[in-house]
Amino acid sequence: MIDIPERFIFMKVGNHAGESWEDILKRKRKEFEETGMTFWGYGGGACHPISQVQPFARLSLKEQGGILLVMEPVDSRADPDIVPAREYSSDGIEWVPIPKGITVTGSRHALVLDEIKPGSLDLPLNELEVGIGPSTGKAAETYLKGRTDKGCLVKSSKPRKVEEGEKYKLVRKVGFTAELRDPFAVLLR
Amino acid sequence: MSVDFRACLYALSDVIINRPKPLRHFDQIYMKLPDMLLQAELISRWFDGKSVLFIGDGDAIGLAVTHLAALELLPGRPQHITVLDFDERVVNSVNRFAEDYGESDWIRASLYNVADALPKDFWHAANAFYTNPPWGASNNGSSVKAFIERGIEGVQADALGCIVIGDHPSYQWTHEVQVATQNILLEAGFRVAEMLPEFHRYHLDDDPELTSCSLIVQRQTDTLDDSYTSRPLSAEHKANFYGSNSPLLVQYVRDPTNGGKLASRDVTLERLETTNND
Repeated sequence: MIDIPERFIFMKVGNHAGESWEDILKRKRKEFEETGMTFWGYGGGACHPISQVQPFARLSLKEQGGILLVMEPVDSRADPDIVPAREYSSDGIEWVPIPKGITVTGSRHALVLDEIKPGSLDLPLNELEVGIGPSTGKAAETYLKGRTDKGCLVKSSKPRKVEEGEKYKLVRKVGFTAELRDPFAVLLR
Repeated sequence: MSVDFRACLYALSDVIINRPKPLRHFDQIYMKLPDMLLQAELISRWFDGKSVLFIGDGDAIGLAVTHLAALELLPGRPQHITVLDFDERVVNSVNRFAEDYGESDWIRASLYNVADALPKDFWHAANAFYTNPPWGASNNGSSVKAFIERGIEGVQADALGCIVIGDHPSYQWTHEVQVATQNILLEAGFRVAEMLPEFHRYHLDDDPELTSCSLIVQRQTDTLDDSYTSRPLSAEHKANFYGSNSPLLVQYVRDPTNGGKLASRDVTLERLETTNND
């Protein structure tokens, strides 16, 4: 069991674009072996690469030496378009081709990761809050309700009290982790 | 004055569909329709007869006020609105709409980035300013400061202002930014004339409950040093513009469609398959 970092990125993961979680993992490991890095595609308004992930990661690098993505495997029914991205950009200005050997489909954004490793961690959401952006300070258990499935989280200075018997409802079971590497997150097209 | 809600909503629908797609990259997060109507009504009353300088206006409040007033759906109307925005899509959308509806005498938009000194033409020229800046959740309002200061540079001695910033009881940062904002305004001689708390909501998919306030401010003085002193933002200010470690890197967002006159690159068309029976 690994320790909960002060700051980290949380993401629910699962089947995507018609691929099973196991197949995605296998493909991403192969990409890492071939290129030394992995692009982890995602979408939605939370964790924007430039306005949220990059500044959050830079601060984490300064304060704790790095930034970890923690992934909770879930039974996802996401089945978006599978058009692969051709280019990426870390600033929205300069665009370069996706490195050969990396495939990222059905996503507008991607985290740039080191190797994805199995890692067991129980995350009590009532002890966490959003660490950047307009939702800064919002309780993680509220933020991650409904459509939002990811967040730049920090340990909360004001953990919420939860009845002993209810605690398990707020625990997220992390199964995999990966260090982010510079430029941490990119736009795709 | 009675309000014809249906007519107001029809008019606002036209304004909303004219807004370019928001770019979260720059914290462009648009206000929701009901709050746009209330905000337009507020501005039309406070800024009645004034020349107003908007520092950024992705929400299209300037256009909403202009259009609703042109249709005589609001109690008052600004004499003229100038919108300055670094997004050419916003600038083109405002000017195109105004031309299409014959409202160009009342509103005009120009390209401008708050990182640059305020152009001399706008220096101390307006009677009122308006801004709904990036709210500065992670930098205690550095971006807010830049937008407000440009607004203050753009108005005369006797002036009004409207600042729209985050305001939610669950978010301590919104209150911290409000304190920083009021300090900037007090230093420039403005007092808070009206404050409408938790007044607007936004199309913010990961936090739709987040609200903002309208802060109406007023300065009543006869004298103002008129020497031009606007300066570009410092490198340090730009380095943390959107938040700590979140710099301002973009001069302008360009509009490859030239206000919709050229083809959009957002879609591709696929030919309908034909068979021998067709």
